[in-house]
Amino acid sequence: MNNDELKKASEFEEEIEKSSSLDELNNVRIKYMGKKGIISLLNKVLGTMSPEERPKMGEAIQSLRNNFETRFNEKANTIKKALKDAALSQEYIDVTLSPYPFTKGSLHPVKKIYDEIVDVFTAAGYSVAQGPEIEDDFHNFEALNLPKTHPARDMQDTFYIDENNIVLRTHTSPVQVRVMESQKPPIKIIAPGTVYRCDYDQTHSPMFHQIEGLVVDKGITMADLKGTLKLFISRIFGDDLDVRLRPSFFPFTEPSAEVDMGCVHCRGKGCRMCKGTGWIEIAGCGMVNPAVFKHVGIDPEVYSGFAFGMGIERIALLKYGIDDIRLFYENSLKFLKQF
Amino acid sequence: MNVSINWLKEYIDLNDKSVKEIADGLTLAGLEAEGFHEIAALSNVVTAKVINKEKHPNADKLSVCKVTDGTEEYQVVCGAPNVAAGQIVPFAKIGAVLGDIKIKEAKLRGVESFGMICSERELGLTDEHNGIMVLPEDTPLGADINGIVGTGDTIVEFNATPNRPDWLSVIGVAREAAAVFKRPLKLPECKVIENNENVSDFIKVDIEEKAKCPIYFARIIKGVKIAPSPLWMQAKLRAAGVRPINNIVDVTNYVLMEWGQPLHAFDIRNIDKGIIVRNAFDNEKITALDGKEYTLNNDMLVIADISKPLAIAGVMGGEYTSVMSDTDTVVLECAYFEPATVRKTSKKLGLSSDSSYRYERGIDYGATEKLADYAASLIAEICGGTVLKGKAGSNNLKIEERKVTSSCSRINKLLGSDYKIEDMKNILDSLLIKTEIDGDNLISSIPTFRNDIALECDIAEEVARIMGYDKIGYTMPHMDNEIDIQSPKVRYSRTARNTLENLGYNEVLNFSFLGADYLSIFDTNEEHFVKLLNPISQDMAWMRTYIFPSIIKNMQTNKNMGYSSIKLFELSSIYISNGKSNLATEKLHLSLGVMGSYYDDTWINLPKLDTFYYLKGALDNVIGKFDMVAEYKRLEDCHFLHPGKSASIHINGKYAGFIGALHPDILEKLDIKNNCYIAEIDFSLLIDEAYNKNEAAKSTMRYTKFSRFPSIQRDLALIVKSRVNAADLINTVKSISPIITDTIVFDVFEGKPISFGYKSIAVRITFTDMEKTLRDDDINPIIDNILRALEKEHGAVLR
Repeated sequence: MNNDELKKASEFEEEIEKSSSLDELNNVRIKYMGKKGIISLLNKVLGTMSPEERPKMGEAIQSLRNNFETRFNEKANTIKKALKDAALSQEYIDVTLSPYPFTKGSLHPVKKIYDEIVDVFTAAGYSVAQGPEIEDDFHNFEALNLPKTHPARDMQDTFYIDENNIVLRTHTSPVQVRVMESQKPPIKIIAPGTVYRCDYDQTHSPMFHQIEGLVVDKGITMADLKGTLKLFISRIFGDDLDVRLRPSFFPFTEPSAEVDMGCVHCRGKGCRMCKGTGWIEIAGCGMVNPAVFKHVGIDPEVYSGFAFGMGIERIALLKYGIDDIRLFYENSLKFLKQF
Repeated sequence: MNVSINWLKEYIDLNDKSVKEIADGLTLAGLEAEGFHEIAALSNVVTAKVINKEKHPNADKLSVCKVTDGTEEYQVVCGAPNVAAGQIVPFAKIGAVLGDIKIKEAKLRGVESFGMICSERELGLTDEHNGIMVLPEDTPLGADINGIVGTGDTIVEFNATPNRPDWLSVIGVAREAAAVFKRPLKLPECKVIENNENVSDFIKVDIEEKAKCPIYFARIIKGVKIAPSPLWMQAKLRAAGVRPINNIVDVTNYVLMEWGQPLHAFDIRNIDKGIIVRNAFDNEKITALDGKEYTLNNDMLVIADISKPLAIAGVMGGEYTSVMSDTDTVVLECAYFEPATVRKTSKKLGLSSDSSYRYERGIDYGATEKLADYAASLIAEICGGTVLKGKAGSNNLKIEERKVTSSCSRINKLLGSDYKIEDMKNILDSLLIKTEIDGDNLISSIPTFRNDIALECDIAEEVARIMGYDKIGYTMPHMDNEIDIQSPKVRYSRTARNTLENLGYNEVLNFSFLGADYLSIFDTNEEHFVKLLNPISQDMAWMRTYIFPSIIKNMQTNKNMGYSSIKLFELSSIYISNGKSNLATEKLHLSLGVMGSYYDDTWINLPKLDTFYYLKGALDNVIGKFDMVAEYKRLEDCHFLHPGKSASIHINGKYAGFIGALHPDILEKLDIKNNCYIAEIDFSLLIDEAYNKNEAAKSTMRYTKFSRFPSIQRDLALIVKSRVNAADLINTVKSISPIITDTIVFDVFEGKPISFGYKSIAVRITFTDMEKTLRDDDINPIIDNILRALEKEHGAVLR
């Protein structure tokens, strides 16, 4: 064997390098490594060599083969990757197009606030109680210390179903009564729900929602009521708002109070929304009147309690800056989709 | 209660306090100031006399007047119809500012005018603007108007809570202010000078109903002269929102506003013999001072003489016996009527007055007798005349100060406070609730104007509010209550709503009431409905028995606003009547509605499905959230649903609602041009069933063993009649062998080459064995059985 043959057999390197497709590359393989390939034919020469020369030559051929495989694989991988890249560069979608319409809907703003308030109180260990919306006179009025002849009944314009006995509940307070009728202290509930009053304008809706809270146990104080309301307001509106209790009157609580909070709009500085006072009325509350306890058979000598109630729409109005309560019940998608 | 701050200051020295300070102080004691009306002090406005009035040469409705302020004459063009020569009037000179109007020299239709004769509204006193304000004849000329008509004052509108009728008078407010600002109170004296004629010689009072009228006194004032009341009194009445009428009526209203004691004056000429306080006769009629005739009944109380009713007790006097311009002798009624009677009468007649408003809340009956004297002497002073000796009538009420005992420590325990007993006593004393200390106890004497105080908690409130609610701290209740997990109703409702939100539905909230006509379209059983006796309007008169009628309205509204894809839901109560005197059955219903295309317009080619299947998918998703499965059965007889595209829904075999397209007749009736699909389920039922399955059975819930071997599937394409239900085919397949673990429909096709009236329906059957990997040999006999059963039961043949 002469060096020319070996040299010729080494030319594959250049040919592999020049190949631009897998087909060309395969042709190079056949040319050198095929049955009659240039490298394969070297083996025949090997047989003609002397035993002394043979191992050396054998090694040279093997090295040639190994080198071929390495170079071949390298080039094959390069070509495959280029092909893949070329193919991938063809696969393209407009990622900014709208997706399959798994579009989210919306929850009603009043229900959203309702959920939020329920969450605040349930996290503080309150249970949720509910009662009928079509209520009897006893639970809606009488047991709440509002006898028929009491002028305080004029505070609420009532829808009647039956003149004497059946009404649409005017507040969620009857749920207090129903809970205390069936459950002994300790009691710690909220009663969210729909209520009705015969009044309809920009600030009054004939149907709206309230949340009532009732806590009854030994040693419950008015300071507990203040602490509870402050916690609630800070959770819903933020920590920076002051809370103030202002004496008022509800037949079912004594002492009674209106709850004012710092105006959400001007944060207490005074603006048109709060008529310059810096305060916004947000709830009514008080210590449960012993007359109410007597109606439900709880001993006022042993137990005390507080109750509070607030309008959910009012909170939603304040929180979202809505100026007309009727928007909540028009159910325009232009409105609903904002929530 | 409108209170003039100037008037208030006559009883308590508040000159160092601004109106805002006074209002804030009272507000934080519970007497809320709700509004302010400032009557600005005026400059350059004086009293003047009209000396001449002539018609304006160029304008029909104007006149040209000459007025004098005593020193100078002015020519004024005036548009008021009531202006007349000889009148004393408020006259705004050049330079005066009346609200937004600045008085300048002017030429009106060619005639020069040097000022303005003013109406009450122009002076800022009232809204009265029908003509100029005419002052009494004896008013001095050229006087500054501020001292005459009550300008330079602020009227504060206080909201007296129903428990505090004592706040319905200027003196009542002054009493509160005395406690709040810790100042002495100066009250007018009640002294009467009588002549020597006895009242009993002129009139007798017979109280037949002493329970309804515990106190009735009549005084007689003789020789009065009816005239306008003095300007200071008129000014105060106007400030309180009462229109001045004549001196007698004005005095009664003045005492009403000053003390809160209603009074009534009768002309004695029209009283036949004596006064009887009795129940009205059924159908007895009286024309009241408002000029309207009222028909009374036996539950109502009247003031009468032997022949006729004179007044509706505590509510309103009769027109016939009212004071006339020539009245000489008046009978002055000063009484206490029982609150409930007045309230019932006032409600039933739909007639309320300043008197009834106070009587039904309760007046200070301890002051009634004294105020009869006070008012009589005021009449004599203002209207001339003399007060006769004595009073007719009687007091049948024991007037005493009730005692309420409370404990300092218990009050502190209720409030969460640490107040000293002496401080509590001082507060109560300042409220005129005289209190003695006995150890830990406070023994209080409750004055007759404080009928709201009966219990310890009432005393606690007095202490707390005068001390200031802001003095109470902030704590949290410490309790050993068990904390429940949230009720299923709350949790499940939230889950369902969140699910539908995620499925692209918008939540709506509608009134529970709708119009009878509209609701009757959907629920023809009138007995179902709870009906309001006093609805706001006829389209809010009946309570809903379904939610979807509201949703249909919402969809129409939004369609008209231009939305082409509308998906709404509501989870709310419905109400089924159990007779109008009973509570109704209330259930939660969940309703979904779709109008227009299911999805908003998109570039994506979505499968063209009947909306029914989308809606059914959404509903199944919600129901599936509670691990429940709904069964759908063809519904052909629901009058508001399309007979071919509607189904009833069943959960655990129980009827739970319906789903479908609205019936074309309904669409036509409601003028709906688009397709409209609705579903409604009894959510209360779903909650119950799901709760029973998932939570009540919590302890027995076990997982089901599943096969470790691969499943294999076989597809069968069947030809069946068009009306064969897929669910029925599937049920048949599933019944053949326990190793059939799933069967679904994967293709439905109608049309060529399938013959008319038939469809091709392709099912994919999954076989799974617990013990081994299945081979064809295992499946083939089952497939044969399936095909035989399908042919036998449904006429199905292999395609």
